[in-house]
Amino acid sequence: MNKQEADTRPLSPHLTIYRPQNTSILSILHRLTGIGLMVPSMAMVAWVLTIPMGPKYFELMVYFFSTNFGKFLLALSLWGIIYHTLTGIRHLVWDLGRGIDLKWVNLSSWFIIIVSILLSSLIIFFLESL
Amino acid sequence: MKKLSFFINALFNGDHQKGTDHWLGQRITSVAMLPFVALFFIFFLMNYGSGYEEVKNYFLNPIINSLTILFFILIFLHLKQGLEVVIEDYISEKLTREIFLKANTVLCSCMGLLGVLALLSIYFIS
Repeated sequence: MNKQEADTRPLSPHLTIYRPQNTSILSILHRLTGIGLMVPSMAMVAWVLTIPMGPKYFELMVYFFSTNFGKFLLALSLWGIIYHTLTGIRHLVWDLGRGIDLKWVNLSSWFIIIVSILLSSLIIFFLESL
Repeated sequence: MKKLSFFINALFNGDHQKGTDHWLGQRITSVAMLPFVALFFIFFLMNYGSGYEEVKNYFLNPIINSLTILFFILIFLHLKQGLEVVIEDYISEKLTREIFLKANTVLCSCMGLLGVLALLSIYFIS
């Protein structure tokens, strides 16, 4: 390939100056929450492991999740699970060949953003009130 | 029968070179997990703040114990499948990619196995 040819080849979007669209943001967040949910899945295994290990370790786990950092992790995980599940369902709908038009995609994007935040705050509020 | 083995192959086949199988496997685990996620939220909200004995008795229930085992298997299968796609997307160097893929398989299998063993030991030992 000569130099001129290389110069005229199309460029992929430059992420730093690319205008964010809710479709791209939600797609990236789906992947990020997917990777991030690794942490609560492992925490869940650790939590279950403390039960056969005895009450001492179990209480330690409970203590960790009663600290501010633990609570923050729990809240973030709850939102992550809800968000990833909702966008996951949307992906399954797309796989069936439905809802691919822009109007539905935009509408469902906002629905997912609002519902995931609302539902997770509602749950966190309920847990805090216990 | 042939169809069944095709689906099973899609679920457990570690060969990430076979795109369609991998894609199908991920759909299977995600659809299968949907009811478990709903159940998880219900039980999580019902039992948040329970003490040691309560939680232990909870997992001594065979239905809840086995459902949780299934959930763990699905979670870590799905995690493995998802991370495989991420690794394949971002790591282009062949050897590094293979190492990451193998490490991912080992890590996810170990975590899943650990969770299942813990649940079984609650039920059978304590």
